[in-house]
Amino acid sequence: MSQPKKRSSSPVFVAALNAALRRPIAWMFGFAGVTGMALVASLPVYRWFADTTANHYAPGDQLHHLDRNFRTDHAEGLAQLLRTVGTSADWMMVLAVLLGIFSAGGWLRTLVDPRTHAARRLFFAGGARYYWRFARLAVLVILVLGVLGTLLRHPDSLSWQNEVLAGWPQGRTERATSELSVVWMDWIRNGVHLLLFSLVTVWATYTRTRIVLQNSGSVVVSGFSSLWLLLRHPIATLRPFLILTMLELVLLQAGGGIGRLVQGGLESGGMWRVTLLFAIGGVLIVAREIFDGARYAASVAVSRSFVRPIAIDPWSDRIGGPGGPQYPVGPDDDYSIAV
Amino acid sequence: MLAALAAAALLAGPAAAQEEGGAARSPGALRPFNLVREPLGPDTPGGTLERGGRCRTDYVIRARVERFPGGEGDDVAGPLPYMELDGSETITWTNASDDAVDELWFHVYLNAFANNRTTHLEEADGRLRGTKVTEGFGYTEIRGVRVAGEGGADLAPSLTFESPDDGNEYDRTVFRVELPEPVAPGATLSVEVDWHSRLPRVRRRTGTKDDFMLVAQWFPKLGVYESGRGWNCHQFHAWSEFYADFGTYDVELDLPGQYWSEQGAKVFGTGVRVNSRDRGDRVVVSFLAPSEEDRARTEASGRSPLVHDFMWTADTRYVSYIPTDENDRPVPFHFADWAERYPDEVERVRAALGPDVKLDLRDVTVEVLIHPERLVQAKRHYDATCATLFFYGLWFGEYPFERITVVDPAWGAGEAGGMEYPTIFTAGTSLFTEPEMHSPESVVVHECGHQWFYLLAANNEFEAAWMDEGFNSYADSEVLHRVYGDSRSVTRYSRIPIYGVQLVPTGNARTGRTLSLRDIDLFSLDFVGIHSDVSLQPVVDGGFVDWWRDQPLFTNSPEYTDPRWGDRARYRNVPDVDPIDTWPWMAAFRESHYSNTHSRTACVLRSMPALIAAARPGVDGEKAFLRGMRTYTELWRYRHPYPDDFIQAFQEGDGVDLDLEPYFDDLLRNTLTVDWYVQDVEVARPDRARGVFMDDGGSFVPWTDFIASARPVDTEPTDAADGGTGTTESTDATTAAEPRVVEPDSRGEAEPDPYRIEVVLGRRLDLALPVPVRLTFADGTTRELVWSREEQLAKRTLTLRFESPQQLRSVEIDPSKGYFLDLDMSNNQWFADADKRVPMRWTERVFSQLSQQFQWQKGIGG
Repeated sequence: MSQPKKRSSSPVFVAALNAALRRPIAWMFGFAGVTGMALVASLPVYRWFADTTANHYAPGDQLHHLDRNFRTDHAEGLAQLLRTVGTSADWMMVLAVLLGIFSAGGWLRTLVDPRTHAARRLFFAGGARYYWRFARLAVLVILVLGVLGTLLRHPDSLSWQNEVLAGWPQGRTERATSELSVVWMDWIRNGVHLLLFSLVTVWATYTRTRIVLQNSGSVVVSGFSSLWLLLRHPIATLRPFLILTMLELVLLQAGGGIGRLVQGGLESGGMWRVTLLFAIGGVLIVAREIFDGARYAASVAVSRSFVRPIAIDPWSDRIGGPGGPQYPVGPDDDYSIAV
Repeated sequence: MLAALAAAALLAGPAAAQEEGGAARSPGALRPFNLVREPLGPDTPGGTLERGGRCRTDYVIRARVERFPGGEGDDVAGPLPYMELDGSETITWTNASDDAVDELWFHVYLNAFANNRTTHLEEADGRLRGTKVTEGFGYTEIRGVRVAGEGGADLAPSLTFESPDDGNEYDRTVFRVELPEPVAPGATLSVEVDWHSRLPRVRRRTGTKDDFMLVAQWFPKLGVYESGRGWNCHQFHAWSEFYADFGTYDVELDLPGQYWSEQGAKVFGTGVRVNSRDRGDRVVVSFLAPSEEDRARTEASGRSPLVHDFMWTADTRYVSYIPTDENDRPVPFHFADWAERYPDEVERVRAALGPDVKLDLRDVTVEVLIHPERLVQAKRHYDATCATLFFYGLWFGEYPFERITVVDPAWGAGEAGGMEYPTIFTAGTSLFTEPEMHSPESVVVHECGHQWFYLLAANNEFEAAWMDEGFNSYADSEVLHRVYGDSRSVTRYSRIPIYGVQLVPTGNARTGRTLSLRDIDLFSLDFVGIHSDVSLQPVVDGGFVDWWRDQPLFTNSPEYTDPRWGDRARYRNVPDVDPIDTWPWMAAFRESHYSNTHSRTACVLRSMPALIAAARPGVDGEKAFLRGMRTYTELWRYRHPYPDDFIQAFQEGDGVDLDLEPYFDDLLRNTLTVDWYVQDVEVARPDRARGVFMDDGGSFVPWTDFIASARPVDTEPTDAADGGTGTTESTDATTAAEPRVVEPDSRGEAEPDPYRIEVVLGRRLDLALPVPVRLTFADGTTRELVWSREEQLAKRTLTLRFESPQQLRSVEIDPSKGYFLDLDMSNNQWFADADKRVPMRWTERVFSQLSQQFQWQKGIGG
């Protein structure tokens, strides 16, 4: 097997982040979709709180946290409100998945195609072009995750695991001799779940990338191919994902820390603190979108090193008149046509 | 004798009634429930006061415990090892009643766990603390009862099991024996009882699990004889606890050798351990409760410390924690250390009780028995116990015993947790808790607090459980508030707590769970005869994946809870189904009982200072309340108070000339509740007055002259706004408000006219308590008035009309939030300015949570 050719001196994750950052249409689309849905779902909350607090609470009351009396006095109304919002959110979860399917096609099309100046057109074209293939893949992902989740977490499965792995009769945790052993079982199970969940999402990303790179019509074939790729080159394929996830984790923790600081001074602060919280939430969503894109960019970069030449015609966008020499346009090409 | 017979007839009432009705007891026949229908009230023979037991019972107990392997085929014990206990006891009973007594009634509490048809299990629907009881049963067989001494009469032939409360033939938790001759008032009788027990798998308070043993209610125990009322010896109910004479316990236990370690015997119990011996394959330990030193002490009241129960516990894995100083000497609870930490509290109590009251408390050795994996929490158990010893001691009198022991039940035996016994109690905790979560602090404070409300003021827990649970619930929250502040809610991910809560519940109902991919039901295979509930759970809840999805660090909403208000939240769930003063098993349903016994009683107590202050303006309600409670706890120390005893003692002690009887009747023996509200506030500033106005003399004068006549505040009648009587009447309250009348000289010609203000207050529901009202004006000045009980009973609304040069900023009913009984406090106030940040703030929280959820869910698609 030939060694992958190094295209850039920078690490994959850096190049991936750079590539994702330079495609604002893709992360803006995800940001707008996600926050738009969240905003629509949370509007009833504004109305309810405006009506409920109105002239009934002193300025500053209920600003940092809802005190016990508020939660008690408005228990029914608050529960009804949040349940209603939750039900709306449940429906929007489906939209979020569909949005993700479209967004994935868009990201990959813009990343595979070198023309950043045409990113918007490519993004929507990619989203539409691969939609049904990625939708089929999403069903496959949900099925695989469902099987994993059921195997790991169904009550019957829990009992079985407890009995076989921990030796607790009938799998009942009360039969354990210490709480710590129960905690360890939980952590092991949840750790395995996290690991498998992450691997499935990584596999799905590589599968989408392969579908785009090879313009494959079969989700299953591409799925097996990408699985084989992951098994053959685990370090090369997983390392950039791991690094990107670690970076994302650090960023989210930092955002969370800042958010808590801002919240801490809410009672004495003005509206700007609330606005700042909105901004922090928005910025972190943008960041997560960029990291999502970076994962696709990393996937494209790694896949290109291992899979056969891409199916997209590199000459489809070219310069040069008919019959004469033609040149493919790369991201770094600077050209002009003189008339 | 007649009284005794009357009492016996009273207790035999259910059976007698049954026989009269002709319903013979036969297996399978419908059991007559609740034959005793009415709690004993003020008219009960024996009077309203001092009707609690006054007798004394001393126990000398010897017991031997053997361990047996369980087995999957053992339907009684279940698969776990179990313990059997053979015991003998000598009970010395001193009849301090006014009656001659010709029979003895005993509790055999362990028989509540003998089968699933006992009263205890039936009332609990077969579930004890959440676990359906299908194995691990326990029981006690009486092997002999006789009068002590050589030639003592054998009482066993007269032994009969009784079910005085419900006639349940399967319940064997009470038996009685007849005496050959009555025990005269003041006389003493000794009887010997032999018994054999199988200890149950711990499901509620008592039993074993592996090597862990928590053995409570384990010996045949004499009921309480009450003058004029007879033996008070109820069956063991699911919702009630215990009642026993004060006395002493001398106990020797003989256990398997595994309970001996290098540190000594791993066996602990009520009182103090006075001896422990390793005999190879056996361990023998002896206890005295109270200790010899405590028994020898005499308190200022002339009484000596006594206890009324004995519990013991053993576990091979116990770690005993007693802090030591640099010289390795145990550090006891020391009053001065805590007084230094809370000097204001000491001063507050001194100001309330007077300078002559002795506030300092004795040193107490605090021992924590904890399991190794939770050793890091031992200090927290210790501190919470010390906090309780300090505050309860300060408020309700000194803890009189030299030692107190905290027990952390073993894993899988949590059902033994959260229970009080004399000088020892069980807590309950889990890994990964912080003090801000108040766990285990809240349970430690509560159970330790029972040393005052259960052990010292030993009410009849069968008939007035609220007098210990409710009083203690009130006091424990006060301690938690002072020492630990508000508790913080957490969301746990893989058992690791993260502060804050996710506001919006996603994955609601079946459709929601499917849409959010939490639980997708697969098609049913019923049509081919396969019954399956298999479903796919792609994003199933629980664990680290959830943490990544939720990003709780910046999507969780902070949630704090003042422990004092927690009681109100629970009380509000079931506020008015039963009176507080109801026998537990006669409550309409379990939640009503628990609400009344714990939360509603706590709310009543916590509202008392506000009530006293409002009923007698100028009186410090907090101090009066403290005096009343202190009087009660001192008067009834080592005694058995009933509700009327509490009411009388409190009134005598609070030092306020106020008849609280009607209030206590409403609060404790009725189901009245209340909701005050601000119905309407209108503030208007009319155009500047023009023209001339007729003054009192009948002449038309300019407005400035007219207003100079100091027109009083409008005391116009008020209309009933809630469908009340509709009659009109004036109210003194408007005058009491002292709203300002504009001084004519102070207003220049260009100044606008004063505001015309109308405030309407209302009261829903039928409880009427005097309540303070406060009006605050733009310049910061306030006016306060009291809406009296009489006014409220006469009319459900109160209208205040007045003029003021200052804009009204707020109206608050019960501004200090002293009435924890108010069902809805959200409508108690009106503020001129609404805080626009609040709706934005909570919209942001929901937005933040949902946007992260959607972003994560989007990743499933791509």
